[in-house]
Amino acid sequence: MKRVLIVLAGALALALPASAACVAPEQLAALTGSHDFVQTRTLKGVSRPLVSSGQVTPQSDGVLWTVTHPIEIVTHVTPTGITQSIEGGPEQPVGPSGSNNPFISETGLIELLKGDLSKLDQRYDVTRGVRARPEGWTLQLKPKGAALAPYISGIAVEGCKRVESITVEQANGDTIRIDLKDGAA
Amino acid sequence: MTQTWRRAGAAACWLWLAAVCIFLALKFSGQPPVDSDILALLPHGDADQVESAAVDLAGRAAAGRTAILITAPDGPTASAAADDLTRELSKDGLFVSDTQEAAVTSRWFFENRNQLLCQRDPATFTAEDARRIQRRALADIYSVTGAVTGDLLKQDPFLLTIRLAECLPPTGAAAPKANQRLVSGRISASAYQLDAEDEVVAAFDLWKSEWAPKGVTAARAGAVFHAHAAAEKAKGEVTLIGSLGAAGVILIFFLAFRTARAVVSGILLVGIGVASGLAATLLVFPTVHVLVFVFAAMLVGIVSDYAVHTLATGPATDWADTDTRLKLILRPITTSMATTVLGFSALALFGVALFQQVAILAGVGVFTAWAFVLFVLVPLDKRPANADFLSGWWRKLETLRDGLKIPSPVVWGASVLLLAVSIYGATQIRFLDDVRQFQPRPADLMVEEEIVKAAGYGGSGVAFLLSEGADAEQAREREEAAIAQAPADLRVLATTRFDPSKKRRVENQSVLQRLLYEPLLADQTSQTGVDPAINPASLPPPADVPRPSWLTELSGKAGGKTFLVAPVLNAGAWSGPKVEGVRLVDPTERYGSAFRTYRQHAITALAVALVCAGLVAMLIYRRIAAISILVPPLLAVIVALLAAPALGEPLTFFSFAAALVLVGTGLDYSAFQWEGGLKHESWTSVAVAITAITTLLSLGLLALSDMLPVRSFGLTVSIGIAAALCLSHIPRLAAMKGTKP
Repeated sequence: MKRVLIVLAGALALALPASAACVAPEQLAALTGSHDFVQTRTLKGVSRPLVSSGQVTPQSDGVLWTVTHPIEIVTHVTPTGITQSIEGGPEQPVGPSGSNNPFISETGLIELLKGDLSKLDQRYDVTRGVRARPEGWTLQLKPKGAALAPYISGIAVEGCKRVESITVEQANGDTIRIDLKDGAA
Repeated sequence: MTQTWRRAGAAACWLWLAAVCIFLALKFSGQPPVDSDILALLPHGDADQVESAAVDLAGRAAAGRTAILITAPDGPTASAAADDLTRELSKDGLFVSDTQEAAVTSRWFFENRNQLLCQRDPATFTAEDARRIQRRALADIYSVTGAVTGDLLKQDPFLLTIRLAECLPPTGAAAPKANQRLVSGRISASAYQLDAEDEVVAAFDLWKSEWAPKGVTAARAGAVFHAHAAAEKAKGEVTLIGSLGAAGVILIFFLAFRTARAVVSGILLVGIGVASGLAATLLVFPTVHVLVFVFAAMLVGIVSDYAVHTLATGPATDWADTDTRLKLILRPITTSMATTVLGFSALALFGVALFQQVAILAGVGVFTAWAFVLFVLVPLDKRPANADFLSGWWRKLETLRDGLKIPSPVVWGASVLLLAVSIYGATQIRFLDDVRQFQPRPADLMVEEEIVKAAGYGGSGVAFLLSEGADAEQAREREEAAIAQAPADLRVLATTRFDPSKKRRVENQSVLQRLLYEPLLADQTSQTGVDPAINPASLPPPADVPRPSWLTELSGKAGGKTFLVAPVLNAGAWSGPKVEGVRLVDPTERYGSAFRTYRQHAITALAVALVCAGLVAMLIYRRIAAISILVPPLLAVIVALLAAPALGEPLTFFSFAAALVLVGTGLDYSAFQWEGGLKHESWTSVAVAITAITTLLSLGLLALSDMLPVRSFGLTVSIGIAAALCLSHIPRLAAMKGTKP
């Protein structure tokens, strides 16, 4: 806890000069309504980035992640599990359910996708920085738990008045970058 | 017996004792050779070798499964606690977590992906299934939750590895809540090994003491926790029954002989008997079951009988010379030893490891005690300084015993009561052969297990499919045929779903090539950017892929055959496949059936033991009246077996095993009483009364056990001993008739 407080205090100090127009990450309001996103997966050994786009819609029990291009996928992420419908097909559970799925239980995925950064320090060592252009802040997250370490080496979150992008660096060198737009088209 | 023989016998006794002490010291210097495996209780005699080995294999695999559900105030705390618990348990390699094994299993899926199918039968794999696989792969690639990597996608463009990991494990997915974590895995040693149990429980307790103050709770599931609780209970019973039995014997010895020397002689003889029996058992078996120590309490009763008879000849003859005293006890004690060892030997015929251990322990223990009595105790028991006082005291006991005339109405009343109890008992007879009811399971652990199951933990199946063949390939093909016949919703952990036969591998690869790779690979690679030159379907699995250990543990060899064990999690009403060489085995049902069969055989064994004892008696005494020696043990067995149901206790295999011991000890009393009757001596009546009391004190306490096998045994023996004592005057009267004082 002491370490978290020191990190947060340091982060606050760093944030002050650059954030006159920005909102401190821990004070961000959670996303509401639908927002367009572009997801770019860069995989080692794969010749081009794998880009998908769609809308993310925060819900009371989780997040609705709808990919519209290049394939239609509706993914419902809730604390009890993930369900997915592909190209209008039936909704089916994906992967382990509930807290048995480290992707849900260990990453804080639902909070991240909702733009709620207030509980990050429970799961990650947080290092805060300043983004020069455009003006804003950055958060570098290092997983605390052993369960995530083999898969994720770090997560970078950028934003100003809201979360604008999330970049997940996988342990094997692959990356997933999600750019969130302000609202849906 | 000449002096030379006596000296040689004494030397042999001391040499044997020295060897026993050295052997036991070596055996117990390292890991204690003691286990608490319930399987040791189970008979293997009539089952074929393959089935016995398979039952053992499946039982150990199921017993090793362990799960702990952690509940914390929040998710991150639960994660940290789970990480810490996994670390604690895995510290010495004793616990292998599923997460740890998942890496090897995933590698296995990856390397074998082109020869495995989610479908049980490759003929049911369709073009639509292939398209579904492609769509799922694209969804994994483009959705935010897909666990895909570049390395995987290059070699497995349809992500078959992920699909196989989803569809093949039959246990279902656990679904703990957001503030819960499930730590599951298996114990790499036997879950019934005491040191393994202690280590796991100690690691858990240490973890709990650290995390409980932070609001973390845990629910446990797994045989290791039940075995530990049972072992602790058994240890407690050994201490209690052993201590009380020993204290009772010491008290009776002192009251009877009034010397500390007699008490010490009695204790040493018991100690020598138990140590010798234990050493002999450990010579034959690598470990002894903890219950053997509970049963060893009976040895205290029997061996102390010999001490009483031997020491009684001192005051009874005013410490006559060794030859005179030996003449008094040699024949009855030898008859008793022979019949007792015979009775215990019959236990060994049941093919139950536990009873074979008890038979060796008791047989060798009794024989050693007999030898020490004849060659060591009598020659060493010299006339004490206060011999006159002690002889006077003994005569008082004889007078007291002689003066104890039970009025005829009391005898008749007791007889009528026993008859009534027996008749009532006969109407109440209830047999219990279900091993699940033999040992009470701790209520707290049962509740915890339900909590873990409620979180979706599948646990392990008890019933299993047994597929045997002349070689591994035939066993695999048979298992595949059986699985094809099984109900669609049957959850079975079958080897061939993960490691099929060569024929099935070819079929699987062929169908994947034809319906997935050939029509869809080009499209898939163009959508994902994977190098289209790669045709992963053509790659055979490398030969050196490490096989997951849990998979290896599902196969074995016995009786020249190879067999596969496939635990079934939800057998329900399914009676099994109609495939040659494959059957559905329910071990608990089979154990129950085996115990039922052995219980029925025990009646024959009882008859054989009595006939043998009758022949021994006739051979030694050469009088038709000597057959009366059989009457007390025979009636005692009948009364004991009928009194238990009258008291509401079921009859088990262990009741009948106890009846066999009863034949041995009942014959002991009869033989001494017969001898006493022949010579019109009173000392034997006193000695028999004392031995019966000491036996009741040690064996009677077994009836208080919480473990049904022990309680069943103790109840039968204690009721029978009391009856045998009361009836032992019959051979005495028969011997007195026709002989002159």
